[in-house]
Amino acid sequence: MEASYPKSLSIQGEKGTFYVPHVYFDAESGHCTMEGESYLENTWGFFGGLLEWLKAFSQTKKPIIFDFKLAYFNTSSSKGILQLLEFLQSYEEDGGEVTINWYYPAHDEDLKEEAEDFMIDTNLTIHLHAV
Amino acid sequence: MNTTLSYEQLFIKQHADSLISYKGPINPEVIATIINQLKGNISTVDQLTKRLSAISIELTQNMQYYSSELINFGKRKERIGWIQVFEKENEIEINCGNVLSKKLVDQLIEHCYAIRQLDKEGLRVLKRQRRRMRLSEDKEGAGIGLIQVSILAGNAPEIEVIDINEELSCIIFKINIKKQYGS
Repeated sequence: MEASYPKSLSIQGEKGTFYVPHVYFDAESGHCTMEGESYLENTWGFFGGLLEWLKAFSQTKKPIIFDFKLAYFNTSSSKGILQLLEFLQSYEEDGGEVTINWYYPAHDEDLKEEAEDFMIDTNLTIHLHAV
Repeated sequence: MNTTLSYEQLFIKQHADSLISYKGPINPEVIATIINQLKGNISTVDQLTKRLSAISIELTQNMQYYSSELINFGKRKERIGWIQVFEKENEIEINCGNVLSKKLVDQLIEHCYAIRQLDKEGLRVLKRQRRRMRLSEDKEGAGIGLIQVSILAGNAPEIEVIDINEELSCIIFKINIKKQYGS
């Protein structure tokens, strides 16, 4: 039976009562981007959808490049991000190729420390980019 | 620490020169309004505004999820809380409170006591430990809001408790955010 691979996933970012990050997961290249701010109405549903996409994409065995370009996320979102990173960690342990980039404003030590904490949590290498 | 003021007195006695002073239902629309007001009123640098916004979101979300004081709009129930924010010379002061069951108050006092014993690195370790914990499905938050508040503020919240009756207390948090902290 042929595996069912996902289509690219695109979520338009919004900033109103809640902050929805812009998401683009490219099914051809494996290049995933999450950008903007994250404070969500249904945090677990949102990140659960992203996790399902990553799980489906991992069946292709292609490399995954994940760019985080988040300016703000609340603590619920940070737990969602950790779930994504934990999956990427397991993918890497199973032989998958994973590259994670974390972009943050050069003056924002809080966001840099968040990435450092995720690295400790997951043992993943996260490439830090002050912009 | 117990205070001699009542819940109502404590809110009313606060100064009128606050950046924001709100008491009522806490829902996502109210939280968004509070954050937008703070961003518009504070006279300081971006990073502090960002920390103030992040801290205010965590505190008001806790009220939205856990306050025991409820009002009904038809079938819709909303939880009540209050928040006041003052800008001082060297810091931003946030006071906020809501009614909680005594059981939850005891848990929060214990949690805050643990937080107060830790420096920033210790808080980051505790945050990582608790973030990895599995939550029950009915939990809406991540359970690390007060730890994050302490990391961002540069100090742990002070707590006051006012007994209301045998089952309920009002818990009041006071958080000072240093203007020169960290960056």
